[in-house]
Amino acid sequence: MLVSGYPTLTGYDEFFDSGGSPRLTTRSISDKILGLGETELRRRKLALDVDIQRMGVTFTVYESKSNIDRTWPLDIIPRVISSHEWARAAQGLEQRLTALNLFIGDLYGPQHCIRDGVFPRWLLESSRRYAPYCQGVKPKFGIWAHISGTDLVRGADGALAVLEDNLRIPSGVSYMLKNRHLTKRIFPELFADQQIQPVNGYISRLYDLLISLAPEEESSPCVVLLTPGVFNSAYFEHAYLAQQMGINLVEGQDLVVLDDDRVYMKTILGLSRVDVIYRRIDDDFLDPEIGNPASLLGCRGLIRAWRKGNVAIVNAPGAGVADDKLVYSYVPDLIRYYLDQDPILQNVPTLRLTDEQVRLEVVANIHNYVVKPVNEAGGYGVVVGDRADPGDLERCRIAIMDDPRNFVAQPIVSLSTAPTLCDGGVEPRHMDLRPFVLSGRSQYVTRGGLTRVAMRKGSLVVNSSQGGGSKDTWMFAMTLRQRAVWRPRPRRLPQNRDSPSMAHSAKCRRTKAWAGRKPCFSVAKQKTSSGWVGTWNEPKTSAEPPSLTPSSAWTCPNRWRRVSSRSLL
Amino acid sequence: MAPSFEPLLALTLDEEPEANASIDRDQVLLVLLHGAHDGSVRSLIESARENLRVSRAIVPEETWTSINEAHEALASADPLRRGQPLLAQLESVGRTCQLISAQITDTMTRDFAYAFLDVGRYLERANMLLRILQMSQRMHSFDAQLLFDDVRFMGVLQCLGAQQMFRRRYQGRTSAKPVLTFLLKDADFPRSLAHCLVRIDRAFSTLPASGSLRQQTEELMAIGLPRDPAQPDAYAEHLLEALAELSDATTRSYFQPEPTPSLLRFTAQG
Repeated sequence: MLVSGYPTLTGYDEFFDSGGSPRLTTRSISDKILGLGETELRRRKLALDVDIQRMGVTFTVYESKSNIDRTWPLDIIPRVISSHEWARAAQGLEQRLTALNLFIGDLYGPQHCIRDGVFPRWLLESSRRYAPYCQGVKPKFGIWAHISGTDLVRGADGALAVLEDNLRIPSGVSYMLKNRHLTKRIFPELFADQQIQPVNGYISRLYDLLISLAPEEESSPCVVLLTPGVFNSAYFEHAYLAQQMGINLVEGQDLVVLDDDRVYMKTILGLSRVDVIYRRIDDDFLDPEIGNPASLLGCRGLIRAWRKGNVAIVNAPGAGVADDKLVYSYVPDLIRYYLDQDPILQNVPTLRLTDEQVRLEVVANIHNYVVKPVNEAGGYGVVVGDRADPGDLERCRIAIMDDPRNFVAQPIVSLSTAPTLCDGGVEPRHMDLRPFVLSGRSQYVTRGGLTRVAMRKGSLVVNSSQGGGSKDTWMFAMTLRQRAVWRPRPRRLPQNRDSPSMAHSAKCRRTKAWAGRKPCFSVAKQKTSSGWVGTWNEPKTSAEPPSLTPSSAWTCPNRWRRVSSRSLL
Repeated sequence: MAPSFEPLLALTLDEEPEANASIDRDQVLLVLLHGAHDGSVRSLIESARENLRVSRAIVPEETWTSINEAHEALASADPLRRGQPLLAQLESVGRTCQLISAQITDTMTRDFAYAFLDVGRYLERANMLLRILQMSQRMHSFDAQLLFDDVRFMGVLQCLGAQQMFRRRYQGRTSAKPVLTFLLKDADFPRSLAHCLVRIDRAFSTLPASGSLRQQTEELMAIGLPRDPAQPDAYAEHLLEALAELSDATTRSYFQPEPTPSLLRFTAQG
């Protein structure tokens, strides 16, 4: 076995328990992968790397100057997540995105959350991502962040927690799909033996979402993907998604907005009306009329057309107001406010440096914290206190004192690890997980997501832009017995978006029947088709699967059962 | 430089190659394969790859994989290894080109994108045919052996992969007139100029507003054989210029214009 020298860890390892034995979730594949031996694993890894190069799967790191062909780093050993745990996490993600979309709509609408003291006005006014031109806009279905990538981490206690929300133009989903495609070629025998849940339903879900957002009911709306071009770090993803959905990949110069405030694509047949734009360009560069006047990436008049409701932009401009790490620290409160529910997924503790006492504490003990600029993405500007050099720490202290609104601090979370094939053998590497959530008429959460790995020993920086690698994320199908009890359904969003307060009260009315109970497993008492009734026992840690206790004595009144099953929607 | 290599290099280099008597076949292959100039095989594969990078959403996915393989094979090849490895690299690139051509032909929908691809492919093919004809005349003036028509035009046919099909059409001695007739006017042979022009015209016929382009193509089709089939240089030069003009006109028609106000009005209302 390859893992005889696997280092003993103080943190949580996804593959092995503290005794060094494979966990319940990895037991069935441990021998089949790690038992192959280093020589065979390296042979397969070489084949994997050749495939990645042949297929041209790339992610550009801007530091590497003009090289736009940095091949995508994929580790051969997959990460495994329990499907029970994921069912719960997926509910948490749906809940979070529901609340965040209500929040954004509220900010650009009546601002009840400010009036009710849940969210401070000064925070909104000082937000770099707040877009006043969005005030009064009502996007279809009330959704602003249609596509989101929420970064989840597992701390030392083994529980999944949210590290940050990416609501602007999160990237990575194509790499999740490609990772699976590549891993299937490397471990075909495992995909034949094991019931590994597929991930490729994402593309059709994304396409369905995009066409559903067309402003007018049309049989075949025109959807385009707007890319900044080949030099963008995620250009591979842009081309891949356009190719997979069969939609046009366009650049700003391919679009034009006419006096009728509609968007057209230049084609050799003349101009063709565009209904939906899946943009992969930041708000600032989307429209030189509104954002950066020097921008050549976007299209003049785009925001005007969107405001008039003549085109859907995905994600909606202005959605980034909630993609601010200081706003992130308010999300649990926002979930309670908008949904009257406790958050299913917890935040990583986050300190607001706008509070003077907190600020002084962080500055004095900066080596105990990760300091993050609130508006950056891709790991840019992040300072990890116990790993940064003294000069960087001093610069960080000065920057915090200078502009405390621009930073948050989080205690250093020892991210979970998993065995990774490195130069020196199989070693633990830290990782996170970026699942993707589609929100429209209904919601869809990917099964698992993109596992990002810090390839350097001991490093906590997993971002692809910082040289991080990745793993395929596996989830085994639930057994029939488990599935009989756990029947998640697509979550429908509250329909009345005119007034968040109304949506709030309607939700309250619906949820009164189970108020006080935990919103997930504890309400999942349902009569099953086979006639017996089971109840989930909460696992001690969220990483372990819940067990099922049959209880034929328990009966469920019809009225209650209807309410509880509806509350799961 | 051995005299017969000079026209070969002139085919791909931007400028006339310097006379160098000591250059051998391997060095010529090296320049053709790995030279820094735009016409080297390596540069051409890189250009093709960049084109495919921006059109990946349109062309078959396998094409992107194939061009990556060719690119990687050339990038990782050791250009200092002489002899067979260089020839093997050349043959490998040739196979990749045929593979990509087959992938596109067999799996791509015949839409506007395919029509443009076809126009480009046959313009390039016609261009190369004419340049090889030019080269044959220039080599003729250097190499005494090529004074014999049959040797010279046999080489031309071999260069174009046309020898076997020529034999099936014209038996007997390989002389200038039948070879030129076959290469320029036999529309049944897919590497002939006539065939290229027919395919270009057919592609234009599927595109909108292609009237003037089709007229230009028809004018090219109407051009007869060179007065002296053994001296096709000037004739080829004239046709090369006409093809370049057709290529520019295609770009101007479809890829450069800003929409005119009348077009905007029409489509906005439509």
